Amino acid sequence: MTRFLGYVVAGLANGTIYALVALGVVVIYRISRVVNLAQGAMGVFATFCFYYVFIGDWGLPVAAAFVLTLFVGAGLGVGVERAFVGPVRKRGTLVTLVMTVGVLLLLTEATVQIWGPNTPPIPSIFPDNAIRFGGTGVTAHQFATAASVLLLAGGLFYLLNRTRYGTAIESIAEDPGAARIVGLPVRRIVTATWAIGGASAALAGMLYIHLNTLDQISLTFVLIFSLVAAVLGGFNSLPVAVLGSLGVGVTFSLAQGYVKTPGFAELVVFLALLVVLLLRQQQTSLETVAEF
Amino acid sequence: MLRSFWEDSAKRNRAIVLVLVAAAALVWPLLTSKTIHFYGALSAIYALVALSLVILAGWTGQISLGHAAFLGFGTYIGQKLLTAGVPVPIAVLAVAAFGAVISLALGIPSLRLRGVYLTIVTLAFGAACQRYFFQLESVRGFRSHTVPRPSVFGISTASDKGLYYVVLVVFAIAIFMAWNLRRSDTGRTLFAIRDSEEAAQALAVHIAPYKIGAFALSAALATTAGLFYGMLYGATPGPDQFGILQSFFLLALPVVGGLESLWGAVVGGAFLATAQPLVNVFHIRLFLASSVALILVALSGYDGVTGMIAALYRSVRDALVGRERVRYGSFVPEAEAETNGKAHVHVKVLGEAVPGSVLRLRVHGAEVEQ
Repeated sequence: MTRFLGYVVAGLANGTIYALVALGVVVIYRISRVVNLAQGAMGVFATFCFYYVFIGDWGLPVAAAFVLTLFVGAGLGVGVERAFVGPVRKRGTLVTLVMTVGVLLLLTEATVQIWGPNTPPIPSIFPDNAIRFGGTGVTAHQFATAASVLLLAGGLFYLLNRTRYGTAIESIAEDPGAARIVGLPVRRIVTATWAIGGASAALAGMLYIHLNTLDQISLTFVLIFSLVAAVLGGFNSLPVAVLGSLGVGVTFSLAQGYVKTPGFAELVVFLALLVVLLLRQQQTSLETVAEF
Repeated sequence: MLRSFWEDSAKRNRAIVLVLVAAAALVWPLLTSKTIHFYGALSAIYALVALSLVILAGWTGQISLGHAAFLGFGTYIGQKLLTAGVPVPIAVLAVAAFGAVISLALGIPSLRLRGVYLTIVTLAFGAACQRYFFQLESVRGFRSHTVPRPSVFGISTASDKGLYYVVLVVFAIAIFMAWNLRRSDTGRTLFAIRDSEEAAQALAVHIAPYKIGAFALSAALATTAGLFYGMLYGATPGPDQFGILQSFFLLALPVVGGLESLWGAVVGGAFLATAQPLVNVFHIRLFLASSVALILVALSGYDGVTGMIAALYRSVRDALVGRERVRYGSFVPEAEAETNGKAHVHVKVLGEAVPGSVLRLRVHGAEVEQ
């Protein structure tokens, strides 16, 4: 039982990070109607900047570097939208999706090219002291991660579903031309939304790579789990994406804990995705009709 | 028959280009050294993968990010078959059937839905293969196994040159089949589905079987390529060689070549052959170079290198003939034309029109008056 609880807690800790990536994916999908496959790569690039440039080269304190990295992530999000995704968006979803694959490959490979195929120990601004919690230990870092995710999820939910900004995002996604005619600052809102998506990717990168010292492609594996969670909500729903991510995290952790075969957890997540899709019905509501 | 063929300049030019390229593909290995043969064979194999993605992404509009996993299954299963002494032609068929069966397991849940689901399922499949299936002792395990290189119909594949010719023959057969598919009603239906699922549905096209079928064909081609990939390397590479990064790279090949045309697959394969040595000289990573090429092509608005060449050829021809300039070509081909509110379309059907044939026409940016 203790073992079970331990796996559940560890799964929730990782699940909160999947949720963080999923939030970024959903937010970007809401504004651009594209599944940003480069989300994980953006996070990794920002995280490697954090470690090698801000802390390594510039010698900044961890907290300052942390904040700076969030801005780098936001800048990456804006840059990707301005330079790559924006220009091809009107040519259809196939090209846009291919473009995000290109950005994913570019950022991942650029990280390897610049900093080498290393797995740097990413420091955290939160302490790693274990807090005893029943029979299992949770570090302060994990608590802080969970708290920041819940905070961000709550804030985004409020922003997207309860404010005029959220309505503006919806209308821009539906028809940018009409949104411009009624006086919405379309460019600024698109930029701001991608900045949020990019910053959340950077946050996820730092938090995740601190927990599991991993290489450049690792966050793209995380992205897969996040996408599975986002599928549950049809890429539109923030609460479903968060809950789904936690579910995927726990499933993954339990599978990994009880079956020692390498990669068994990936198999379980993949099979779960197939089952979810089999149960899913074709959406007919106009709001979710998007070719891609 | 032959005379009318010769008088149709478009067909004639195409035939001349085809003969020239085919001759070049046959002759070059005789003039070059052994190390280059390896890259030639590798290119032919990648051209086969690129062709599979042209059919899936370019014609059906679905993106698979798990093709490296199919390549891997082809390599690992092919190794077992060849070691057991199965002749290559039968091994090719068996491996292709295996790939098609796996693709059904992925395609049926995801392709009956509209959207990115296939992309996500194939991505998760790629991850599961890299981390689980390929680690199994019954698939690959921790040790590398040697792949035998038996002769095929008297052609020895012991040298990379011989293997290149074998792959070339397979590629030629595959591209001929794809060409036929494209001209058939099935091909036109695939294009109709890619352009608008609603419109295709309105024409009483049952969408899911076409998409699933195209994916199965694509997967079969990719696993076939995997069999030869294993033969070329002579041993089974590790699971990370068929990981998700590899899948992204594989997608870049046909996009750079041209996602919609069959030549795009040829160019995509040739791109690898030229990029690999260049990349080795300049010490950049191959995937980095291909991602840059992918992004530049996508930003250019043309359908890959072949699309650019076609657009260039047409605009030069229009300038010479003195026709009005028309901007041709984009990722999805379109011929823009200004109309004064009334558009007229002339369609000339050459040959006999079979009842029930599908003709593809698209109108962009048109406001239909109520």
